[in-house]
Amino acid sequence: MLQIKNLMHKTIISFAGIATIAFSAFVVAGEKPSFAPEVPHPTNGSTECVQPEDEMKKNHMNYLLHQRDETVHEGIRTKIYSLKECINCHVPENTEVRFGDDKHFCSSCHNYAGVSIDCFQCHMDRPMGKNPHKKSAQVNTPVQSNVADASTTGASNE
Amino acid sequence: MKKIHLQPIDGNSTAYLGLIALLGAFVLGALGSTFYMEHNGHWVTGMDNQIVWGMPHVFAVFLIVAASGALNVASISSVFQKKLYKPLAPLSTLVALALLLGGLMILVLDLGRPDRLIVAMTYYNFKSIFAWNMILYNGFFVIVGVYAWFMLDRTMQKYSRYAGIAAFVWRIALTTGTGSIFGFLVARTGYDMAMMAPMFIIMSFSFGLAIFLLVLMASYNWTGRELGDVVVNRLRKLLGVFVMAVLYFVFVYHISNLYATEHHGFEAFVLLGDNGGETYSNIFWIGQILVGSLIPLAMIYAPGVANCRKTLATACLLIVFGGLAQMYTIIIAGQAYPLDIFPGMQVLESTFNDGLVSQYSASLPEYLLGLGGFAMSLIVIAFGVKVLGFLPESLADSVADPHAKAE
Amino acid sequence: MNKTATVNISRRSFVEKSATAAAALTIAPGVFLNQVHAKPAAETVTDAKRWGILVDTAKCASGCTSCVSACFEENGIVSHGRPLTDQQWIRKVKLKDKQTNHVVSLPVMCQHCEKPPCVDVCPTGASFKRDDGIVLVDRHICIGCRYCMMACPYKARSFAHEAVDPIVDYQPRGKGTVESCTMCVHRVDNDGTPACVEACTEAEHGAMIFGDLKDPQSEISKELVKRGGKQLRADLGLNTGVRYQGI
Repeated sequence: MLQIKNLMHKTIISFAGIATIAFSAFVVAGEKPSFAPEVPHPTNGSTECVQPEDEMKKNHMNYLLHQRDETVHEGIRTKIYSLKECINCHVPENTEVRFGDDKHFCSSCHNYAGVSIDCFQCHMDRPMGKNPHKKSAQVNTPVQSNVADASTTGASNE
Repeated sequence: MKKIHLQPIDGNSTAYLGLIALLGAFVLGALGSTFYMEHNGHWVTGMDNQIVWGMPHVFAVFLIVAASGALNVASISSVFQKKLYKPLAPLSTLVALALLLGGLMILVLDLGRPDRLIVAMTYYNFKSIFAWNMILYNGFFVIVGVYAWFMLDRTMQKYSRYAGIAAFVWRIALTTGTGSIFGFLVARTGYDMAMMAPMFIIMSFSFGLAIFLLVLMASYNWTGRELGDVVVNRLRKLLGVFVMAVLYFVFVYHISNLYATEHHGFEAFVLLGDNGGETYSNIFWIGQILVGSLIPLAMIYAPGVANCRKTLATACLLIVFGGLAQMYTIIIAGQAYPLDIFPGMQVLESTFNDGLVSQYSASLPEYLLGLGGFAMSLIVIAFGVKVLGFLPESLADSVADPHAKAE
Repeated sequence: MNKTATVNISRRSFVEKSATAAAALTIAPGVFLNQVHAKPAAETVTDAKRWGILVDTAKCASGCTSCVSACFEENGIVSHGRPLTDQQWIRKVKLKDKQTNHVVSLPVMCQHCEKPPCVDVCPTGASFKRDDGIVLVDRHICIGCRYCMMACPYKARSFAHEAVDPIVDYQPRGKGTVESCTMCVHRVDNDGTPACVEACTEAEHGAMIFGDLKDPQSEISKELVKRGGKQLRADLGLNTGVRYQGI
């Protein structure tokens, strides 16, 4: 029993030591660990975000949360922190890459960090482009008449 | 009165484990159907833009209403100081908490965005009775939990009366709130009634006591503990009074509606089955009135069956069934009947079912969710009596009320 | 200047109006008159305006669904072939008066009440009324409980019974939340007109007028003064922003 305990202790300590050395090596070298995400750069040529990169990394969610309340409740539609404008800049137009794919701007980091967001259940995850309206929007066909007085359990309402 | 000895059950028999497994299967069914509904969207259910609250809500509201009613027995002992009910009080709190948990589970799992529960608990619109209900439901857990603790913990027993009074006031507020969910809706003919709140209170008395009696008789029967007739008969008679009270409120509700010409359409729909309401009138007359109220009343008061446990258990089951029928009529029929947006006009055409009675047939995921919630309540009760001493070791006549005369 | 539906003004009044407009713009550049409802993006909406729609049922053509198609197209609403669970932000209804047999047709959408029952009952406050009278659902905090759908006297609300695809980027909508006519708030905030009103005008019916109810000079206010306008279910006392003539 004691021998197993000793062996266990030895394994744990040596593993911890190796991990520390490896990590310190990375830190000292000033490089990101190789498993960090590859965040795509905007393809429209801009090199600066609306805020410095570090600030955005830390606080982008706060800007978005604040902006959404302002837009929805107060009708403030400034573009600087608008989610739509973030997408318009950071995601190439006509891309096939959708949210959830590692190559999507938002997912590249969110997948890695394991932080799930529900923005794109409602918002577009790529720029809509110049022709947003799909002319093929179907409308429910107007109903044939229904007679509300008679017992109409089966009257269709299409 | 002899000292009542609260004792957890053994809970080792195959039958007990089998019960937990069976109930657990239903709970898993509920979770599975939630995943199915949430993943695909609610179009896979029978609920749509016309009937927005369906079978899950029937079960959920029934359980929530029954939950506050199940606390009655404890309230009678603590607030109204009836000694006979004192040993039943801890079980009463357990049943109340369990039923509320089951009902809330169904409600939350049926939300369009159940992942936003934390939003529901942090953003409050205090004009909404629904928001008040969230506070009342959560507070119920705390207050009744404290009440149970005070009763089970010998050092705190002297404060149990105060906790009982607080719990009683809180549960009246809670049921008033639940009834007002419907009563405050001016838009719909079947709902806009101040009577909804008191009617729900009286319904809670009836349904809660029926479930409590079933739990009581089942747990004593299945653990071989003794349950005397004195306790059972008192509760039986109380249940009869409550069922009659519910009938009275239903009567007043419909009579009031019948007096208003503008409500005649709805009343004909529900009571006579006019205009496509046959389902609802059948459920009302046969399910709620006959099977859910009149037959149980006969079973409770008929002279030959006074001490027959089986008859009483059947009566309680019928009352539960009638309660579900009543909830169905209230919730579904109220939505199925068309809104009166254009008074005096007949709707010739509409793509949105204006002026038409809406059809509803519950889908399997909805049934599973509702039954799963019920099963969750029962599992909590079954597990609770094993873990803590909610059940007195014996409720034989000599123990419960030595001075009672034999019936 | 408000878009006018019926262009039946005399030449003199036309010249008068243009001259006034031109004069106003040159006299005081940067000062916005009441008729112009442009709003800078960074400005909060206030209750200085109250948006409303006036429907003249006499002009509403019975078989026409231009407003409905326009709304669906504008907001990315697609039919899934399941009419009971599909979204309907606006619908055409044909009615017959039981006493007089008079038939009218009209579009019904969210009435943007001044005292909306849907706002009263929403537990999280997601259903809210903006200061300028438009009733909206903040779908960030909507939990999908559907209580507002129970409470709406006009059955104006729809529940998103399935995932929305494709999404329109100026009108985010998603599965599991409740939605209803937004009076094209994304257009209104940019000095535009709701899609339904625009479509009705383009279809040459001109049954719908959109404007600022608080501005006595707006076309809608003048029309209301001239020929009145009734609310649906007026007895509920909700003071709707959508009014109808001829019902």
